[in-house]
Amino acid sequence: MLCAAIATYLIKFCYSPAAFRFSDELEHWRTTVNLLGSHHLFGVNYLLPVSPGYPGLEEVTAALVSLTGMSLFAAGLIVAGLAHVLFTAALYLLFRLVSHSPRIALAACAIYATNPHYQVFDAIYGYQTLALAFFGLALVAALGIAGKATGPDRARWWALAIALTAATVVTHHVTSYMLAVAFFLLAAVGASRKRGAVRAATLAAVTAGLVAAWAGLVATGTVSYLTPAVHSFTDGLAGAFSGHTAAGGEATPSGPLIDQVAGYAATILIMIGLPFGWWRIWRTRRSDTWALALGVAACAYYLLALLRVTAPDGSELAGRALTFVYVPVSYTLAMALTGLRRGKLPVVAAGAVILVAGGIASGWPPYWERLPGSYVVDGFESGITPEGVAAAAWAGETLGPGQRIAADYTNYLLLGSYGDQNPVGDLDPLYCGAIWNPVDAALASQQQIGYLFVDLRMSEQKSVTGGYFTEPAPACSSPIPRQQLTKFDTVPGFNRIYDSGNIVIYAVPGDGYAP
Amino acid sequence: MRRNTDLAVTAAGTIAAALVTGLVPSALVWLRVLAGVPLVLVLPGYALTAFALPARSPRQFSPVLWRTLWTTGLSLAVAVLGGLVLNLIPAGLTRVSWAVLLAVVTLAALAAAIWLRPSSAAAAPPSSARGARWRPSWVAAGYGLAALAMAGTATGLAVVSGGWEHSTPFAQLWLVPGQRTATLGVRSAYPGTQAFRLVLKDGTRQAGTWDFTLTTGQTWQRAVAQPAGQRITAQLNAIGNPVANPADQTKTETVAITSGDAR
Repeated sequence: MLCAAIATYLIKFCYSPAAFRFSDELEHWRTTVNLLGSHHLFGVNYLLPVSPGYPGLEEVTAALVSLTGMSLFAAGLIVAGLAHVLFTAALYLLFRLVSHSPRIALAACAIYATNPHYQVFDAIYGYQTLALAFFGLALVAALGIAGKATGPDRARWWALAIALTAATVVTHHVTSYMLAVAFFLLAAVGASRKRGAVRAATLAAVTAGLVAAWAGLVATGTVSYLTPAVHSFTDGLAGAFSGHTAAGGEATPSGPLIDQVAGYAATILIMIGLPFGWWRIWRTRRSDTWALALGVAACAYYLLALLRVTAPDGSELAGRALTFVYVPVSYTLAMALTGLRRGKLPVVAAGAVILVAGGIASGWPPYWERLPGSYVVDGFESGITPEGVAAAAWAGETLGPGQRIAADYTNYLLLGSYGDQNPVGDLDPLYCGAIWNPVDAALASQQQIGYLFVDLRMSEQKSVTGGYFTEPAPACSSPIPRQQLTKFDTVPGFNRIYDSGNIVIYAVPGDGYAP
Repeated sequence: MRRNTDLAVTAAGTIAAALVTGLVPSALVWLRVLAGVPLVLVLPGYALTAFALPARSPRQFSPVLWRTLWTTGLSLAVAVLGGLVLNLIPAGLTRVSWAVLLAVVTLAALAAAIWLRPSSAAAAPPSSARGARWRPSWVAAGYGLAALAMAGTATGLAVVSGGWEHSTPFAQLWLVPGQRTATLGVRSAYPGTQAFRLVLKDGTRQAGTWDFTLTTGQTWQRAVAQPAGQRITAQLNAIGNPVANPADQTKTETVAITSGDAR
C-alpha cells in the first residue's frame, strides 16, 4: 500500500516535475513566500485569503527551507509527498485495527485509492494534503483511546489524539470539521450501544472547541470563505429532497460522454455494493462501535450522489467531500468483498476497473488536461505557459512587489505567485467592452488598479472552464473579441509598457482616467 | 544504559543538526540538507515516540513501520504547533529560531523518555519476533524490481522531458517610464541564439535602431531619453530563419509610452 501511495505521488510529480503548476499549489506557494519573507504567520494572500489562517503546511515547508536552504519547490514536494504516504499508512493502520484483518485493510486502502481526488488533489502542495495525514493519525489515536489501554498508556493516547487534532485544526478547516464529525458520530453510535460514548464525546467536544476557538480568534475569514460552498451544498440537498434542481448552473458532470459514463458507473457500483457491506458488518462486526460507525458514515455517499446531480456545482462539491466519505465507503465495500464466494475474481477485477476509471474520470486534472501538453487558455494547469510565467516574473522584478494588477484567471495566479503581486482576478468589465468608459475608469480607480494584464489568447480560444476570470463573467463573449482586448492602446493616459507577443501590460493612469 | 543508546544517538544527532543548520553558511547547502531534513522530519518525532507512544505495535504490524509512522507524523505536528510558538517571539520563524525550537523539543522529549523508560512497559525495544516477518518470494522480488524500473524510467523521462516543453518562442520587450529617462529592455526566450532589430521612435522621428543577438534568457537593457510630452514607441522584430520557422519573420512586439505618465 505504501508502494501504491508512492507510485500515485510519482504520477502527480511527473505531471509537473519542474515547478508548481496546480492552482492550489500556487496559492499556497504565495503564503509560504510571505512567511519566509516576513518570518511571521497570518500575512495577506490575495490568491487565497483563508490560507494564511491555516498555516500548518507553510510552517513545515518554511522550516525545511530555512534550515536546509533548499528551494521552496523541493521542500514542498517533500512535505506533500510525505503527507500523502503518511495518510495512506494511517488509513491502512485504521482499517487494520478496526477489521483485525490485513486483507480487509489492504482492500479498503485499494478502494480508497480510487477516490477521485486521492491521486492528485489530495497529494498537491495544499493544506488539505498535510491535514489528511494528521486526520488519519488522530483517528488511529482515538481508536487507541477506545481500546484496551489503561493508565499511562491511555493518557498517552489522549495526548497524541489532542496534539494531532490541534495540528489538524491549525492546518485545514474542512478536515478539522470532518474530524469533529467523525468523533461525534462515534459518540452517537457508542451511545446507542452504551459503549465508549463518553470518550468519543469528549474528543468531539475538544475538537469542536479547538475548531471554534481557531475560527473565532485566528482564522476569522473562514466563515465568509466557506459560506458560499455551504449554501450550495445545502441548496443542492434541499433541491434533491424537494425534487427541484437548484438554479444557477449545470447540474450534471461535464466532459466527454465516456467520462460521464465512467463516473456514473463507479457511483452506481458503489451504491449497489454498500448494502452488501452493511450486511457483512451487521453479521460479523456489529459488536464493534468503530465498524458500525464506519458503516453508518458510508450512508453519506448516497447524499453526495444526490448532490452531484442536483447542485449547480455538485460535481465539485461531491468530489471534495468524497475525500472524507470514501474512508467509510472503502471500509464498507471491503467488508462486502469478504462475502464474495471463491471464484469471483473476475467480478472483483471488473469492479476494480470501473472504480479506477470512474475515479480518474471524476477526479483532477479534468479531461482537457489529463495529460500535460497543449495550451488551453485559462484552463487551470494547461493555461500556464513559460510566456505567462516570464511576464509575471518580469512584473515582480520591474514593477516591484505588491502592485494591484487586473488580470484573467491564469495570470492572476501567476502574478500572485511568481510575480509576488496583489492581483485582482474578477474585473471582467474592464476587458469585456468595446470602449473604455467612465464606469470602467471608476471601477479601476475604486480597486486601485495600477496595471492591466492583457492576455490576447483570450481572443483566440473559447473558455473551456466557462470563463476567463475568477468569477463568472456573463457580459464577456467567449472568445473575447480582439478589439476589446486591444482597445487600451488608444485610451489616452495608458502606457503600453510590456509586450511579449501574447501578453501585454498597460500602466493605468493613477486617477482612473476616463475619456 | 544500553537501552538508551538510541536516545543518546538521537540527542547527539539533534545537537549536531541544530549547530550545522544554524551555523553553516548557505553555500554548503548539501550539508544543511543532510542535517536539516532529519531535524524537521525525524528527530522530534522519534524523541516524542520514545515516551509518548503507548504500548506496543499492533499484532502482526511491523514495529519499525509503526514507529516510523508516528515518528514522521509527530515531527510534522511539532513543526506545525511549534511554528505558532515561534510566531509569538519578535524574531519570528527564522533559521536560528527553528533550529533552537526543534532541538529544545527533541532534547526535552528525550529527557522525558529517559526518565520514564525504566518504569514503562512501552520501553521494551520492539521485538522482531512480534512483527510480521516479510520474506518476499523470487517472483514478488521480480515484480518489485520491474515496478521500480518502470517507475524510475517514467519519473526520469518526466523530469528530462519537462525541459523540452513545447512553447511558442517569444521575446519580452519593455519600455518603463521613469523621471527623465525610460528603461528599454529585451529578454529572449527563443531557443539558442536569436537576432533582433529594435527600433525606437520619438513621435514620428526614428530615435534609434539596434541590432543585436541574445541567447535564451539573456537580457538587453538601456536607458533612453524621454522627451517631455512626447510619445515614444519601441518596436522589436525577431529576425528569424524563415526555413526553420517562418512565423519568426513577422513576429513583432511593440511598446509605447507617453512622457509624464511615469508610475
